[in-house]
Amino acid sequence: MESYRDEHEHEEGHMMKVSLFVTCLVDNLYPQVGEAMVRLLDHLGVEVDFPQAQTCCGQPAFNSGYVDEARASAKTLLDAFEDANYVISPSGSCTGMVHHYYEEMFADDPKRVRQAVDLADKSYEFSQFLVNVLGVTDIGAFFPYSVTYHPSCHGSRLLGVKDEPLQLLRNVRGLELIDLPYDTDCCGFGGTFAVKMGDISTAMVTEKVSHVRETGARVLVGVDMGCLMNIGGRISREGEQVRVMHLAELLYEGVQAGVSD
Amino acid sequence: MKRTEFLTRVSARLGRNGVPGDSPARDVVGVPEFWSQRELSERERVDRFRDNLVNLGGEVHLVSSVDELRDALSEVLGSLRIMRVGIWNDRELQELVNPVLESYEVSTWGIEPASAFVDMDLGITGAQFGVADTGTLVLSCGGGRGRSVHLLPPVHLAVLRASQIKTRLGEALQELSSHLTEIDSYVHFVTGPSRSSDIENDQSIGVHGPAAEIVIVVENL
Amino acid sequence: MTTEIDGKQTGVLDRSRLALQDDFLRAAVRFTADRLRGKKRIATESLGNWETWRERGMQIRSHTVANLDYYLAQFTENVEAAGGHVHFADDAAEAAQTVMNILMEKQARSVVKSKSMVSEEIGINHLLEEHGIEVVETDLGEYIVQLARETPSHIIIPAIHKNRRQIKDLFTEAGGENLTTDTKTLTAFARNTMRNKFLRADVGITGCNFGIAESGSVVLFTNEGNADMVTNLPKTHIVLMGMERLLPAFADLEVMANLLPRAATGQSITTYMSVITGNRRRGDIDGAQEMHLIVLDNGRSRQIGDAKMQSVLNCIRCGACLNVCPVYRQIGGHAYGSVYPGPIGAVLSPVLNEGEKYADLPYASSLCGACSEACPVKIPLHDLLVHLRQRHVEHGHTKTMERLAFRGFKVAFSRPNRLNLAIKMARLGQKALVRNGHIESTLGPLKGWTAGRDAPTVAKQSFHDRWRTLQSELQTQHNHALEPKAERGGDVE
Ligand code: SF4
Repeated sequence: MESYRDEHEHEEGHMMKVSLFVTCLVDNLYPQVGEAMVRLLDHLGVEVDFPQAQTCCGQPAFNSGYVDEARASAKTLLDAFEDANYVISPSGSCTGMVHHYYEEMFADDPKRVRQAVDLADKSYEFSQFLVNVLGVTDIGAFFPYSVTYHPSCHGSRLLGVKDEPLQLLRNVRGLELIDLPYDTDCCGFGGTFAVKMGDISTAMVTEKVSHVRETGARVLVGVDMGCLMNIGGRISREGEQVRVMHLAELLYEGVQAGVSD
Repeated sequence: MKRTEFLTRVSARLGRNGVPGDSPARDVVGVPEFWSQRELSERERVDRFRDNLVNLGGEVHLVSSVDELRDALSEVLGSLRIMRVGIWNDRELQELVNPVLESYEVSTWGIEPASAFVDMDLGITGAQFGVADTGTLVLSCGGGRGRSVHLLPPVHLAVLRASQIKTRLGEALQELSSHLTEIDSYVHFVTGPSRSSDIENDQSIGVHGPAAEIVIVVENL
Repeated sequence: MTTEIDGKQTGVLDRSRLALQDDFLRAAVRFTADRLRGKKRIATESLGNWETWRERGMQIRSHTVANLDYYLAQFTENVEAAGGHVHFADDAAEAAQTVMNILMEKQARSVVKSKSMVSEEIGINHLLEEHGIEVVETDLGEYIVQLARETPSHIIIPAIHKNRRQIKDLFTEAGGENLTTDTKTLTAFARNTMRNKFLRADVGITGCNFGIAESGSVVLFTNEGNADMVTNLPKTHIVLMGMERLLPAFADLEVMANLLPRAATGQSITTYMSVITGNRRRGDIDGAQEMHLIVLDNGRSRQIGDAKMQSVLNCIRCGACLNVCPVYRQIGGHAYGSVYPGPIGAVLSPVLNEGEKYADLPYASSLCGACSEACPVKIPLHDLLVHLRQRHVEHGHTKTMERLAFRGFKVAFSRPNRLNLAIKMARLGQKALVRNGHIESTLGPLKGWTAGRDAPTVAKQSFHDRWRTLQSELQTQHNHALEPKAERGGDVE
């Protein structure tokens, strides 16, 4: 398990430091995903720090049209990560929010704009960071199951995270990756949309689950807990036996298995 | 006046007092350079034109002499059991095809009354251009080049010189652009037979326009 | 438009419930949308550099709209120079009245139309019928929809929701004899029926895909050939055009001719592209003797100058955003209750019609961005939907409960300690609802969610709570791991 850290430390001469932007959903509903991320990054020789002052990127409010409310929450991020070198999150959607809307959201306040631009420059979604910054695609994991991958809309469309998760998955030993039909179709999450337009959202997620079922995969993996909460909630309601995991959880489990293997 | 009021409102929304006198500066016009800079030989243009049109269900005959042209035409007319033929009133076109048409009932645009053209089996036209990229015919209609000649019959046959085939659509459009004052009131860009996919996305041919598009391309003429 | 169910005003959610129960409708929409998506992918790949083309499309359209006063003046002057008559209409009613006036003057008894979304927008068919004027939609899909007394459910494929059996029944009712459900037979019936209508009609009405400012030409993209009959056979031709549908020059038309058909139907070009410049010239034997152009505002100019919304006027009505939309896929077009369905409809309908009628449409989106990605002129549709939601909030039109909820969000999420407290309360509050580790209850504020899905529970310990322990655990491991390295003399922090 030490091998990666050794290599990395020798290259860099010192440990790389990143700050975790855990996102409100993972923080409160899926803390194990944050933990898996931290442990994986640690495994790769990256030192992780967790600024406590962060709350949420503000997207739930922003997407519902409540900009002022979104700003209040976004400020916590601007301040929390002021001194960070890299800001890594388990969500393409939340990082996408920072990238695409923060600058405009604070347009009236030059100081905040500077912070916003700076934060966007150093913010990465988890798989994006591993592949594009660390240059890691094979993490030494072993995961002997059939897996299908759902690319989340915001991560792939807003942030351009398309191939990174797949690159990581393809290098997991024992893992059989099965293409998800209609993979780029939205699962119907959309934040408050899922509650406000519940029937439409349910019809969308039902179609998504039917495609997951078609693959016959044992595990559904993704890089955004909002979507996974939605698809997982439907899978559970339908009584399907498909395990739903964040990529970080899968990789961490695989690394542990890879080590004992 | 309504017009002024209407335009002034637009100007106001754009933050100005009235319609500007000078044409707006532009940094981007038309297609990307990589598209306009392609160069194809006549051979390539002809082949591409044919391939594209055939792909869409059109029929293309390549001929290299007037005799071959006439043979091809008479074969088409015979095999489709055509009886009544409508044709543009265009000297050059007529000279090329008339010998073949002697045994058919022919109506010439502007000579026979327009109403006759409702019942034609086939309409013969020339074309101003062909477009290789898409398999398109450009028919600039006016005077003896009546619109109904190619619109109404179930079969449209056009005679085109190979040298008239341009690589891309833009070259034909450029021609319109450089003769703005002489532009015909109807310029028709026709690509293959009439089609519809409105019934369960099932494609059907010959909905309102012709069900068959036949082009005889004459090389070396 | 089914904005009323049992006489009650309804919203998009109510209407979509009906659609969601209609298995045929949903299957039909999926089937066709899939075909079109596939064809589009092939057609755009064959062009190469699709992104460069989209960028061009966006630049040309943005430039045109940013100089709309100039190009509109130039275009309409050129239409007149070519012998056409130009009318300007501020709103739908004025446009419809203008059409009526022309028809009255011509003493028209029968009108043939080719597909035009603007004509739907101004509700002209209805008005003509009231005046006893026969009006026939000649596009096959539109004809089907007209016979069924419905409105189009897609802007490119109006009858996407109808199957061949329904179509056969409609055609039989319209006088077809011994029809089968075969596409050929049905198409032949339409062709024969229309032929006579075309030849007899007094006036033809079309829309306008693009107006070319430099020449005053009206450009139509079609596949069936009906628009060419409509333009050329009757004596009078009326063109209905949204005021923004212009291009500066023919050179720009080449870009649109590459983008529009590919985005719409996956064709590299439509069968027909008709360039109509004024009315017939002296010496011409066919073609309309009189051409009238009606330029419609109807809320469009209001979007100019709004930095965000102005881009909605870039739309070239290709329908690509509908074909990729996962919401449209589930509910079809009629559930939107407006002339324009799908993502573009969810943006356009509320801005063209002020007031509450379509105010819920911007919420009928998961903001997945598939529309923005598909749009050939790069309209950021999902951003515009959010922008409209913001307008809605700013105007105080959202529900009190929702406002309170987001006020709560602001209070809780502006300080981590407050959030912590709120989460603790939620953890307590959920106790009564948790079964088998998740929430299934279909009551309460989350019922939209829980009706179809289980909901997760708030974790016993948040990540915030876990952090200290995790951090010290990792620290201990490091210290442990570092020991042997010290022997090698490695210098690691
Ligand atoms: S918004 Fe874009 S994709 Fe949708 S119809 Fe308009 S041009 Fe097409």
